[in-house]
Amino acid sequence: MSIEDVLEKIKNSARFLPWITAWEVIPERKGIYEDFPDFLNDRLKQVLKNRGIEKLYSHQASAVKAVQNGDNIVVVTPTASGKTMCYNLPVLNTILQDSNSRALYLFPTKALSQDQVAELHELIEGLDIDIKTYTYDGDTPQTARKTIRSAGHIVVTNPDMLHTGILPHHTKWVKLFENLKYVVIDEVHHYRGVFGSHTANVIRRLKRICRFYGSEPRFICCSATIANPKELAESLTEEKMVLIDNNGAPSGKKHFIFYNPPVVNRQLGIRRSVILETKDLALEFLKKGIQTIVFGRSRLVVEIILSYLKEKLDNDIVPSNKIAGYRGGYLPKERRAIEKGLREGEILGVVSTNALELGIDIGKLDVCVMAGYPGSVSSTWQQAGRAGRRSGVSAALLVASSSPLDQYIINHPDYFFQQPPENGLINPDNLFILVNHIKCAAFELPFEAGETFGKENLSEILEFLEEERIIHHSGNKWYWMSEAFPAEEISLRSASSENFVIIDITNGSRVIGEVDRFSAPMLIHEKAIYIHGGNQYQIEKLDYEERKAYAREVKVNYYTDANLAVDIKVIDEFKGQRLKNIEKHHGEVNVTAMATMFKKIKFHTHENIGYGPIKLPAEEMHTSAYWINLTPEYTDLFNSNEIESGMLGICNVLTNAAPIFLMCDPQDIKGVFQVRSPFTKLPTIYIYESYPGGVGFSSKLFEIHDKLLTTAFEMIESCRCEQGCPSCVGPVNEVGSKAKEHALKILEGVLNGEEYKG
Amino acid sequence: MVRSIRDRLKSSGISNRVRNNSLKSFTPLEKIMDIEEVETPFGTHLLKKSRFPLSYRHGKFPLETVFELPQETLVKVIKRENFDSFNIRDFVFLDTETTGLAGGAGTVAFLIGIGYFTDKEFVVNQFFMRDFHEEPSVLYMVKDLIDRYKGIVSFNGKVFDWPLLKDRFAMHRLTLKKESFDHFDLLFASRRLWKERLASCCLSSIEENILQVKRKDDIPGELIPSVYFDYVRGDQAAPIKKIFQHNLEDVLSLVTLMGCVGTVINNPLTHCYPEDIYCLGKLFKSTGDLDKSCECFLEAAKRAQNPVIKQKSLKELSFLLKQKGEYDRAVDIWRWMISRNTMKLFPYIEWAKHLEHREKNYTKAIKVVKRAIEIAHKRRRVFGNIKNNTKVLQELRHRLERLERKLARVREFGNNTG
Repeated sequence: MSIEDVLEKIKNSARFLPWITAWEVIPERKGIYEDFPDFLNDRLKQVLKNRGIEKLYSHQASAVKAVQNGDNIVVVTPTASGKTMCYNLPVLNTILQDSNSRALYLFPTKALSQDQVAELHELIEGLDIDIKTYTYDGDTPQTARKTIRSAGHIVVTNPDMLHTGILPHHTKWVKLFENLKYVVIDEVHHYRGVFGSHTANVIRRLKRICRFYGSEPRFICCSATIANPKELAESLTEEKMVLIDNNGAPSGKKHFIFYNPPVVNRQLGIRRSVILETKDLALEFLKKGIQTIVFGRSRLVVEIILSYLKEKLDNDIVPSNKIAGYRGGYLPKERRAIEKGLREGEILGVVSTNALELGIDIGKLDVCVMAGYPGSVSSTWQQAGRAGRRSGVSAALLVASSSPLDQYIINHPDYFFQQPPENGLINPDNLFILVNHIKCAAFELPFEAGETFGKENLSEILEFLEEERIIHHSGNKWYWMSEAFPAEEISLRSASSENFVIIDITNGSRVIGEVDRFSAPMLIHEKAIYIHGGNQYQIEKLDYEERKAYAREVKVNYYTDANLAVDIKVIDEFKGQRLKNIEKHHGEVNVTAMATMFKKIKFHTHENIGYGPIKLPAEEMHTSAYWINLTPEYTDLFNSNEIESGMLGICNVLTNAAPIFLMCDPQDIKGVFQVRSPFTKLPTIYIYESYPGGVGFSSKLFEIHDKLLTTAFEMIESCRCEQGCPSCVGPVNEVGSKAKEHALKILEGVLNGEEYKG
Repeated sequence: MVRSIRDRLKSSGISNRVRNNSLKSFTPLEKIMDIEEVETPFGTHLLKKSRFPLSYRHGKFPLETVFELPQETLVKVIKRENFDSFNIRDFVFLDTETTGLAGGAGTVAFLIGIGYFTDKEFVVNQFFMRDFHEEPSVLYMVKDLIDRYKGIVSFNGKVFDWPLLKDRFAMHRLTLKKESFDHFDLLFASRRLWKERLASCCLSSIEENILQVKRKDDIPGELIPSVYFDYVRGDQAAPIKKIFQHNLEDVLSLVTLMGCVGTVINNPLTHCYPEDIYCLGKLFKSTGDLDKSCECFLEAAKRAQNPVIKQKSLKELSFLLKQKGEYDRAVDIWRWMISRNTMKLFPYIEWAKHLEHREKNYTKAIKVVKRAIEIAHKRRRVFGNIKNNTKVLQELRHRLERLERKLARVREFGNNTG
């Protein structure tokens, strides 16, 4: 049976058809080709021809020409459309012309860098010229490091290694920096939030050192499809970018199916398990010998689906060893084995976490089934992109879970298939992050009067650091004066220096995670259930002074949710605007949070099955926030009950809706409602960022305020629950029985009604 | 309202410090030390010059001891083949005081001590930067000096001081005239000679145990960076004197140490400690002086009180003798060790090999191997399953089987020497 046959069967089945909310057919695309540009070295052209490549895709040609022109570029194309050529060709071409040239390749993970280097090696071998490529990361043996520093033409590394291993030791890399022509940044969309803000500063330091050695490299960036690739690349590198998005790679016909499991409990709004539905759909293809990949959101989900599939297939025609599992951390050897298995038909199906999303090559499959919405439109396209060969039909199926975001997306397919709504956001001038990198920069090169680093006043910051006794002003320079090595103490993934470490003591002791100080009382209080990698742990002991939490693995049927008494004080308003019946603002706030007690909440039913106290001090944090308050005249139209339950409901929905636009994790932002906020004196909803200083979410929310509220309205309206549920305004026992009604009424007036001027 | 950066940083919890309001009181060092300001095209800095007669004693030996050493001797320590014209006068003795041990671009050598021999004296130049902007001037002079020499003597300089200095040159875009310098790192030499006897081969341990250098009021190394930072910020200058003194003694100790190293190698058997003689035995073995090596091991074995050293010396000696073809002497040693009920396996194995291949005495060989197997089992009971117990036992059993086969064949054909 062919894939078209299976699809036809699904289309006509009573089992599946009623729950399909969308079925898009993306037509086949022919490739758009261009001749090799003249300036491309003949040897390089020959090597490409030897590999069966006679012409370039349109986007590859555009990229290569723009780089030749001296531009910085950001290439946006779907997975496996030959984007590596966009950087390998210009780099190799330049090295062939001038063998002193050097390039630096940055990848977010080691696994990805290993794969890309393999392809580079193949090209170089074909060229038969002495071009040396090396990976320089934590695994590089000491003996190899010296050779790489002096001889490597292309150094492949990641931001963390650049941050602690290369930049602070730049005097050992003189040859690289003096001759650096290109910096390649792959998977640019990955550099967002805290990690992106840190990386932007690492790049500032890199550019600074290049200036010192007299080089001015061009940046070649590659990004997945997000709303703002050019903006993100420009923020990351502080260089003007040319956007290359004329994708010319061919693709076969693709079916994209949206599937929402049926409701099995109306009152609570519970649906049939996403895992079971995914398994059933995947089996339709696997049983007919069609190669399929299934994505799960966590290791636990992956393991469950894997065991179900193996079990089912064993009893039928297909032996169970034809299904393989895949996670991040698999070695290249293991991945090569899976890839080979797929190519040779030995492996029929792969079940994986998002680990396989990041560009790693495992070949192509025919069908992709996603258990749950991957969290962003771009992630979804990346996962869906795993299915589909150059020609022939492929299919991607998105199966929704009951989470609010999933439900929204699955019921608004038009949303998904139009322009990607999500923005990758960073805030390289987050004070905490910026100052830490200024320390590193001072260690690397003394600052001179008149220099700038970031958008804040550098000399004020340096004066501050001098008071801290780590910088010294002498002559007209600022020198690092301390025994410490600053880069070591700064993690590129954290926005505070006082993180709590979570230690698994089930068997021996090993660190399984980190939580920032502010979130600690709500996530790792004693008796909290902490979920990591799909496994459940209970926190047995929290050593507050030592910043350590001790956890033991458990299997329970509930999760814990802490009650927070949150107080917000506005310190500084950056921008405010009065709109119809509502005002929007964003600025800096001081958040004090006190965790008072926690609830035990049963999975699926969301029943409250227990309580417990939390005895921890209040935490304080300065961060950015976006807040909205109703105008006094509009407020007067409602009674206090309507305001309270309605606004509380809206607050809940906003925190669920924001990730649609922000490319953030649920815990990156939090909402608080104040009936009479001391600052505005009016009913106000604050959405604040979980990281000190903020990473750019608040200003973006201010910008997209209208879209945000419209989406919130739609989410409440289209929710199938009767009076309220966690997917929209919140559970009834928390927000009251009329929250949904009141929230809609308030929003209606803001979006569509008249302005009330009292 | 725009808040100042200071307020924002303080309130965001980045700092808890109170503002430092100490006044800068700058006491020029020239007033409290014999030191002068010098000028270069890159600016100014301070230079302290000290001179010592060749007969000056810093610790056990006078400085001139280094001249008495034959060239081949010192070469042995650093294993360089192409040392055709080795002359101690081509070397500088280097020690630096730095702002920390972290390395990287942010670590600075604020005091660089360089000693060298002239015809009549030993001169130590100490280059000092009063502040960071004086570094280029210091490096200018240091480079000028080092460019005139061929090699460097240091203590741990191969790993720390020299790479750091090269980093500083790179930071200021200065290039040394030579690509590479010969480098005597006396830390490595010290370890080779004294690691069996001394718990630590750090400089203070060497000074105490080997060089007989006694320092008075020495400033501990860990305090040096913060003393310098205080000085730079304008606090007292007096403690800086101690850093100069410390650095000077470091450089002098290099000379004494080199003399010691050479003396020890030159007269290996005259030293008191069997542990040291054992180390010398290993040194000579690595340089190919097998006769000298044997002498050392023999002496060490004779004198050793420590059973571990005795055993190690005997082992090394026996293997060397075997290598040299002096089988009988080697066998004597193994048999002696066996007669003392040693728990080591190698004497049994080696004797068995000898019996099998040279004497062709299979019967006796079998007895020895059986004994060895007993010992191997005993070892496992006593020491647990360490290292390759199983592998060793397997090999012994193979050996036994082979011997039994050989014996059987011999008996069959009647050529039996046992």
